[in-house]
Formats: sequence, structure tokens, C-alpha cells
Amino acid sequence: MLDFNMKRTIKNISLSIIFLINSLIIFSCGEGVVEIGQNTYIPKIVIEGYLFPNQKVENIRITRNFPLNTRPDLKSLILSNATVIITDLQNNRKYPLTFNPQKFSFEYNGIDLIIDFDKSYRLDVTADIEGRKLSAGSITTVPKKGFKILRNESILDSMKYRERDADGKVKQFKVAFTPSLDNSFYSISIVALDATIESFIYDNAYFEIKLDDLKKQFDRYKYQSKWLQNVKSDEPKINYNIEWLDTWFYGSYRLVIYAGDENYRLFFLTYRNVQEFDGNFHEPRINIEGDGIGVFCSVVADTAYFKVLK
Amino acid sequence: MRANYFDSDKDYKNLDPRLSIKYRLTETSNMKFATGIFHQYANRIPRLFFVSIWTSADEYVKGSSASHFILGYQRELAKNIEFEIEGYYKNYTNIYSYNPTFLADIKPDSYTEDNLPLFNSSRGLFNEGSGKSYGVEFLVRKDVGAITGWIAYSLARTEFTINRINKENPFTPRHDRTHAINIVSSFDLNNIFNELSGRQFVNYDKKWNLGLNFTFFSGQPITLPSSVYFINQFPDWEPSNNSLAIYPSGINEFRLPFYARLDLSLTYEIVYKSWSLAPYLQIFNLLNRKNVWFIEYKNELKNGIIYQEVNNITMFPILPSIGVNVRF
Repeated sequence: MLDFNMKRTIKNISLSIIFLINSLIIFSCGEGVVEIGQNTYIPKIVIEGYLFPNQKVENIRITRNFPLNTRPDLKSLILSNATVIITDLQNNRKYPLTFNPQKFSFEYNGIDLIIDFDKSYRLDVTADIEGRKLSAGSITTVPKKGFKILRNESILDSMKYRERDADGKVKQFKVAFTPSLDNSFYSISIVALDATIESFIYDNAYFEIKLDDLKKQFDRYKYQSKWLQNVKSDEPKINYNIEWLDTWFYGSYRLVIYAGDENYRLFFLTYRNVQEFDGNFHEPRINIEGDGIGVFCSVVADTAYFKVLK
Repeated sequence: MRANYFDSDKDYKNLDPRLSIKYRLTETSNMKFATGIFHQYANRIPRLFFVSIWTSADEYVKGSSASHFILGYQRELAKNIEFEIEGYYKNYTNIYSYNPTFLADIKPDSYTEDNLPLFNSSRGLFNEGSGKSYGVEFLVRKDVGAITGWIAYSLARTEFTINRINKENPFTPRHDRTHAINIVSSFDLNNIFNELSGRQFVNYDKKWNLGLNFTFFSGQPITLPSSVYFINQFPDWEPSNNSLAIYPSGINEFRLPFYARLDLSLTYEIVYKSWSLAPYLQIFNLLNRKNVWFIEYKNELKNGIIYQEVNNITMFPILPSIGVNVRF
């Protein structure tokens, strides 16, 4: 016969085991779920501002972000009441920008702010979003002089789609430029100016594209983005061949090459690269302090045109 | 004292002093203290392509080092039952993570005659930083008798500061587990009532053994998409469907759901003179909990809205297996 103490011990141990097993069962079944919604949203000031040497400071767009899976009221995204100031860091003079309601962007209308090569400027923005006072700031240094498209050494003008030379080799448009000293990053924007459903090159050399897919992805074909990095900036000339993969429509094209500063380089290379192989996200490399995202940078731009003929 | 020499693109020579002291307080309790410096020349790069990879130290990836301080207390609570508590603090230097924005950081080592850049080093591929972890661990263990096993609980915190991540501010790395509970138990079913009633333990030739293991980890940190914003890649582009971009939440600001798993094994062991045979049934994740491994996102742009569908990719479901152990 078990004595009273032993029975009590067995009872206590049994109760403990039952409690423990129950707890284990509760924790060990079911499903873990991750939900994304308003809980992940943090308001930010979105800056899209480019300075061009010897040009008026304009088209500085100040907007705000919005939660995923929502349809924003586009007007509410524009922070027209924001305070936007450019500081010339050579003399610390401040230039308040004003909102242009026609262009939905900020600009400086005086004539005393000159954006110069190899000089630094600071942008400061403060704005109220959802009752919170947010601020953001960023400094840009304009690339040095020197960048220029060499039109005489480029092959632009016009060409038939995948035209061949006398040897049967496919010809290419080519752009040559002199780099800006100490600047090894150049982005290239190619925009099909006559892009329409009708002018699309359906019998292109690469993919069969159906009309529905083209309608959905139209902008991806119209706007092409390329870049050159780690360019030797002390070379007298850099050549870039425009691939036929960059031209999906017959008609005129605008090609703009930008010699961008460090802010632009980091933004350009990383702002869309925010997701890893396993789905986890990471931040883009944005040189904006405080509550801002986007880009404030300076670029030297040069534009050329070419035409793809039928 | 340990001396290390590692021969690579760059040679590494380090001294690792280590000290370990155990002091007996009473017949049934003691204290222990350990400290030391540790160097390692194979660096773990966490979660590259779902799993971690290792890379050896070279000119651009230094060997990592850590200093450990551990203080522990052990005590025998009852016959065959031991209790242990241990606190630790560790700091790490030269720890690395994969640089997902490496395109912005790789620099050529040389150029070809045609001025094309040549890359032949790991420069820019990894982010470098330091970190620290601290915590306390509790353990109750029973090694002898019909019921054996251990229950362990740990409360831990890890913090990394790594260049190019979280604007160089400290953040919790993805492997951080604040709470971890492990219960490992083995029940000798033939003797369990003998032990509970104080009768003598009997070594049977044929015996049933039940194993129950439970694991619980609090959810791992994760960075989620936070918001959407309008921006163009080039100043000459008009607003279009290309103009929407996603911005993430704070680095590892959120956590996956907790991880829990109950495993069961049942073994029937037959002991012969010089060998034994033990057929067994094992059931991994007995209650089929769907633990989240990672999250898959499907983004769809419709009428200027990014609709995001979130799929939780889960780990192994219930997984039974049978086998036989033969021991000579």
C-alpha cells in the first residue's frame, strides 16, 4: 500500500505532468500568421529633387508615402504646405522655395541662387503629416565639369530596326561622351517619344509580346534605364552601345545621360532593391537624414535624340 | 592560452587567453566563472539564399573575434535532479552579413586594356560590424531513473551594429530569439511506476521507452514592407506605372510568429546477451503546427495601387517515421 505522502506526491507529479502536456499541446498546434497592414506603416516625407548646374532650382517634388493596399487621394500626397529650404553651403545662405501649383512642385524664383559645379547644397524640408511634424535633410555635391556627349563621335541620327551593314552585321546606335572628373557613375534614360500600341515593334528579334501584355507593361517598354558604373573618369572618351533591347517602338527616342553625384548613385542602384531572396526586406541606401526618403541629388545632364525607322 | 595563426591573402596571428574557474560552495552546490577571447577565421554570412554560408578570412573580410564572460551557479535540488543558472555577456567584432546592395559598393581591382573593370576580390560584398549578446539560461536536469531529461529556458538579447544597415544604428539580428524553451524527456515505461512508488529500478530485457521533446522559440525578427511612394528613377521620366516604389519598415522591427514543435518517439527495446534490437516510431511535429519559415509576397499593380498578397511559407508538417536501432 502506498502511504499518504506518496499518494500526494504521485498526485502532484501527475497534475504537473497533465498541466505541462496541456501547455505543450496548446503551443504545439495551430498556425503562425504574419499580417501586414496599417501596423507597418510609418509616414515619411518623400523628396524627389534634382539640382542641375547653372539651371533654375525647380521641380523639387515633396510628397508623402502611403500604406500598401490603399488607393491614395493623389492630391493629399502632395505636401504643398511643406517648408522647403535650399542652403548654399559655400556661404550658408538660405533660399526658401515656393510651391508652384501648376507643376505640383517647389522652385526658387529669385536669380541669386546659382547651382555651380563641384559645390555643395543642402535641402531641408519640414511638413505636417497626420498631425506629426516631420523633417528631413540632405546634402548634395554637384559633379565636376567635363561631362558632355560627343555628338561627332556618336552614332545617333536614324537607323532602320536592326539594320545590317555591308558585312551583314547588325548595326547599333552608339553614344560617346567625356566623363566628369572623379565621377564614375552615369545613368542613361532612353524614352520612346512616339510610343503607341501601333508603333510597337511586334516582330522584334527577342520576344513575342501579346497586345494584352503590352497594354499592361506599356511603360516598361517605353522607358528604358541603363547605367555605367566604375567608369574610369580620367579617360578622354567613354563609348556606350545602345542595344536593340532598349528600343521597342518605331519612332523618335530621347536619350539623356546623367553624371550623377553619390546621392543619385546610391538611390538609383538601390531604391528598388529592397527585398531579399527569402522575402525579407532591407532598406535602400538613401542619403536623407530624419523622416525623409527618396532622393535629393545633383546631376549633370546631356540629351541626344535618335530615331528607329521601319 | 591559445595562439592562432591563419594563412590567407593576409596572415592573421592572435592570442586567445582563456580562464575557467569552478568553486565548490557546499556539498551540493558550486559556482563557475569563465572568460576568454576567441578568434575565428571562417565567418558565417547569415541567410544568403535562405541558408547561411561560410567564408574564410582574407584581405577584405577579417577574422572575427569574441570576448565571453560567463557566470554560473549549479545546485543539486534533490536526488538526481540538478539545477543550473548561467548568465553571460559576449561581444563580437568583425562580424559580417551579405550586402544586398553590393552593386553600389563593389569596386574594381583593376581595369582591362579596354578600360573594363575587373573584380577579383570580395570587397563590397559583405557588411562589417560588431555586436553583443547577453542573457540568462536556466536548466533543470535529471540524468538517472525511469524519467530522465531536462528543461531549459533562456532569455537572450542580441544586438548588432553593422555598416550600411539601419543607418549604422544598433538593430536586432534575424537569429535573435528572446525566449527559448527546450524540454527533452525520456520515460522508461516499465519502471515509471516503480520509481514513483519508491520501488527498486529493474533492468528489463524488453522495455518500452517514450520520448517527448518540446521546442519553443519566440519569433525571429523580420523587416516587412511598410509603405508605397511615388518616385521616378530619372528626372526626365513622366509619372507612370514605373513610378511606384516600396519602402520597408524599420530593420527587423517586427517578429515572425513563435516557433513551437512537439516531437514524440516510442521505442521497444529487446536486449539480448551481446546486442539489442530497438524498433521505433518517431513523429516529428506531432501536432502539425505550421511554423512560419519565411514570407512570400506577391505584388500586383492595379489602377495605381500596389496590392500585396502575403503568403506564409511554413516549415515541415507532421512527419512520422519508423526505424530499427541495432546496437552491438
